[in-house]
Amino acid sequence: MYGMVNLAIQEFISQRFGDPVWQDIKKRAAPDISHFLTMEQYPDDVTVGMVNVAAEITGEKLPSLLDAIGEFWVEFALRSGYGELLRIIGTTLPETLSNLDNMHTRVGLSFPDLKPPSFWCTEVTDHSLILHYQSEREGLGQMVPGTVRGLAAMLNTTASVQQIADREDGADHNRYLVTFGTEREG
Amino acid sequence: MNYSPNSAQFALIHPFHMVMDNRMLLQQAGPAIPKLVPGLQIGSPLTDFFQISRPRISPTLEAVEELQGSAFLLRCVENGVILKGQMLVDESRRLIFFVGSLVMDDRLELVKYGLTLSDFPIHDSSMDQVIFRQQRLINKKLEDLVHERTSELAAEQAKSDSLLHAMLPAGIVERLKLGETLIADKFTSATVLFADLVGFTPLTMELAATEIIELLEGLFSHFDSLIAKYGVEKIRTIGDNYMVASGVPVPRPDHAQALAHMALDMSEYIHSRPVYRDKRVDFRIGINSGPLIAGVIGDKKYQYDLWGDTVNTASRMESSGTAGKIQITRATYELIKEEFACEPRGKVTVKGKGELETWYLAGVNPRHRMSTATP
Repeated sequence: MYGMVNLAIQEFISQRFGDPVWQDIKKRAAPDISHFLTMEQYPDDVTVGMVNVAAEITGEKLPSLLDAIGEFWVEFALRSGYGELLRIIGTTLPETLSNLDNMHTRVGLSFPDLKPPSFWCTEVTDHSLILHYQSEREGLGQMVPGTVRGLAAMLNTTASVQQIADREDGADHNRYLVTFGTEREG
Repeated sequence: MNYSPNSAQFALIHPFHMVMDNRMLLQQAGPAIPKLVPGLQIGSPLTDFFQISRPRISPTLEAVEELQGSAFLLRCVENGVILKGQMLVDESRRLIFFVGSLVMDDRLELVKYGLTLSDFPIHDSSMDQVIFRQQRLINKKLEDLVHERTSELAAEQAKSDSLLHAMLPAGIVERLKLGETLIADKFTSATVLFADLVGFTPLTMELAATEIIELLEGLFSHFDSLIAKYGVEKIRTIGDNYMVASGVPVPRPDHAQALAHMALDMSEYIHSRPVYRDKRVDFRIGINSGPLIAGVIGDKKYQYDLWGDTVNTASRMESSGTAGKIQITRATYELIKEEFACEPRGKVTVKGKGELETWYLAGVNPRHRMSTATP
């Protein structure tokens, strides 16, 4: 995983639970790393370990923690230099979700070690769609609902996300029913 | 097979295309063009919306025909956005066909024109340039951060350097930095001076602690100024004891003379001072010369220190000395007797040394002063 993801998790934990809690988590999950570097590769275990230790220390449920991290991720990327890119993915939530895969593929070209997930949409209507998610990684599907809500917030709208198929239950890939609201005023 | 996409597919693949007739009137435009030019009207002259900025030709079918092999830049009249592409002339139908893409200038704000990823052909590389541009901005931010941290580091380094230089001789600091852990240099001839406040212990009972500090601070900071004046090395102060060496860490032939001059200056300063809070303040000063070892050992609380019998004897010269006097050994006497006036004290019993012949340093030799004054 690129350091940028770990940095987002670091900032999320520090903001929500305070810096001392983050220091505790880091001591246990990444004792040998002094600073995460945005463009540096780190083992996936570090990322997964940080979230697991965070759940253990704070008493939060792992899925809800991942969900919140997903939502934070969008906001973090927006102000970490990817604002322009994120804002041109689409002007509506369905357009944005449909273009996510295109965006990840292109970003992947400049990050040779990136293993981006794939997203695609089917059954798109004015107020709902089915979002498909396929990743090489295990256990990060819980981030998807938060990420979708984060993207909705970026577009000044709201969304609710309900998982309808799970790879862990034998499905080929995860599927989510996304329903989205009308655009909020300004 | 002679496959070609239908016009809907063509528009999808080339959202930034346009078709003009033989009078350069716009006949067709790809779906992204109206986003760039909101007032676009089919049937109007191309030049109402776009100016051909490269190549430099007049906007006619004939001119375009001659330059079909060139790269064309079309500049949007309304907002300056540039399309780069190529022109083809259909000779039989007398039509010009333009296919191009957006030039991703650093200042181009796609959001402003409502352009999204969906407006760009997936196969071309304009979007990759946007990502590249983002990457560059992020790298720039990181570079700035590195630059900032580097100067912070340099400032901190300068701070710790100046601290080190205040504690250790310059040459020694450099050697420690280069990784030497044990510095013990042998000097065949150097001079050591000890000065001690006479009656310090009773004084501490009569004066408040802050007054004692004030008294020592006044004296020692003047001694420190003499250190710089004579280019000698302050070794340390312990309580009321002041220790100086000359000829270390850089050897010099006049090491004994330098310290003799300094001792006389110290003495003169002490005696010129008014009594402190009606207490008489006086010093015993002792000097010795000879071989010694100087350096830094250990890796905590670095201190430049001296070792050897020469140092011990110098200390004895102070402890067995007399208030207000500078007692020197034969070794020092032999080195300075030409230039300085010394009074023999006779034999003094020195702990661990037996009887030693010593002198009191009284002043600069008047004859020598004369001789140096008239070359």
